[in-house]
Amino acid sequence: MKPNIQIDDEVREMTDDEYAALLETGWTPGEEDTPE
Amino acid sequence: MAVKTFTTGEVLTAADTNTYLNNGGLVYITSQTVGSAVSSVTVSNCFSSTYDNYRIIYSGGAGSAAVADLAFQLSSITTGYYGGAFGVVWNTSGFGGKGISNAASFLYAGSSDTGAALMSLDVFSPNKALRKHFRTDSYYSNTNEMFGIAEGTNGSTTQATGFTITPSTGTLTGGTVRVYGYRQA
Repeated sequence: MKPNIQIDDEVREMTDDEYAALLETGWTPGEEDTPE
Repeated sequence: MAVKTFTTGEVLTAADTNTYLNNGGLVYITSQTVGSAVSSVTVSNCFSSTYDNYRIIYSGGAGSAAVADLAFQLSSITTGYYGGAFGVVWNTSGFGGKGISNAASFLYAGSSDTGAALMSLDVFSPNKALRKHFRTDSYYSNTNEMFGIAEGTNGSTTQATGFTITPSTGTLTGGTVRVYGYRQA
């Protein structure tokens, strides 16, 4: 499932192209771990 | 916008009150509430020729990941960011640092974890046809166990009008991004 993107007041699911571009930056979904 | 010095007995008019009451050192420009589980937040049309330099503060929200760096990218400037973060490693009292070399963003503008997200960033000349400079005084890295500051630059002369904040991992939820201009006169 693609994450949301926010542009000003609009929050929506990312398009495939936007998600691909995000992944190219090295972004990862992460895990909801407890911080130290 | 100049400062006015009122003299004893001078009438304080509504016009003067409206003008000079808002004439602080940091002038509020706009704010943006951050939505739920967003992988990036873009604030458009906040930089103009009115101010040379700006402060941007993001607080009140949290990240989905245990640790994430907040990257800052000016609109239409997607490469050429240089700089670094440096600070004190909290469990050794030693020094730590991370570099930024020709990146797509100023990579260490702020930080987030599941408890909080924070960015307190000065941006110099974003809307001027000049080199840009960035300075954050609120960087921490849970991964590197480091608290510190970060500075960066970008040689682009593109006149940016907005920016995007992106966590390196996971998403952001809640909080508010506020943009202030440094008053020039």
